[in-house]
Amino acid sequence: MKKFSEKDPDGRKLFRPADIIPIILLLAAPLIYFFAGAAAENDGAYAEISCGGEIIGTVDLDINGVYSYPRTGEMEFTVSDGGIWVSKSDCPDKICMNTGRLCRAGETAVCVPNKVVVTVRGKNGKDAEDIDGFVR
Amino acid sequence: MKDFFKPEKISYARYIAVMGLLFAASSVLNILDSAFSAFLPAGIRAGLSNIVVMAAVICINLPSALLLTVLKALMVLVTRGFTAGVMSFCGSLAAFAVTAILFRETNASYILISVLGALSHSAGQLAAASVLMKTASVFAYGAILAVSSVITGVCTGLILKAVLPQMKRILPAAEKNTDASIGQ
Repeated sequence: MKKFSEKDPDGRKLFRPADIIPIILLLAAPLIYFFAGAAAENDGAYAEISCGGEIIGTVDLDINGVYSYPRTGEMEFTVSDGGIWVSKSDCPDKICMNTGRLCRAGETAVCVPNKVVVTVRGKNGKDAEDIDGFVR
Repeated sequence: MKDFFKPEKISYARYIAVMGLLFAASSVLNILDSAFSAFLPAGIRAGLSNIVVMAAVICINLPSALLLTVLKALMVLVTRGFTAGVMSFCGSLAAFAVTAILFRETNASYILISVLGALSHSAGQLAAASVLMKTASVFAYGAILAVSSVITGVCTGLILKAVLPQMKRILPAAEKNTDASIGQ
């Protein structure tokens, strides 16, 4: 694969050794964020569901069930064993559903087409602002 | 002004054919992106269609690359709806700007350009989403998108490098600075 390390006519390379620095920074920062969150092990107590920036409902994560709201249309939110996830949505890309199960304080799932945000909060209710907020 | 988009040394017929090919390629790659994203977590897209815009920045000129960016977003608007269209446009525009600046003003490597292009695409999309939703909570996706930008950026950079010789073959007269007429 000698071809890949050759210079282009305009002197541009495919990869330069110095490029490893921004790449490691980009990989490391979220991983530190991720492990800081995992180390905190801050279990969520309830989930806030908001639509268009307004909180339309709070759900206790200890009570299993399937929730839906008039303002979120077809969307369904399932709570089971201390976690919540978007189990049904009529949006085209299903990013909210792909985000998966949220159980730690600060975890968030977003559905942009429906303007819906699901955020897990801890017992004291201010964990979303903590550094250990993250999305899996 | 009539040659605002077309580089001087290419015939109109060749230019129209090349732009048609590139737009078709970006549309097909966009569909592939959507197909792959079903297997990836939390809205990660491979960004294959971005290769087309990067190749246009490098091999044709900036107005043509911008034209492809707008056409690409219009295609998304028609096929995947308003929200996806707006987010695609903001993301592609940010990626186009970063790619153009890095390519014209620096000697950055193809992989670095590609990674930073992917990162700016994600950042542009998150900014668009936060405006659409009037909330900053979408930035919770920033961490996973930063990691995925590096992975997809390295892949698209390798593909870009592999397709550049073919691009230069279908654009024999195009040179690095054929877009000197931008200011006219």
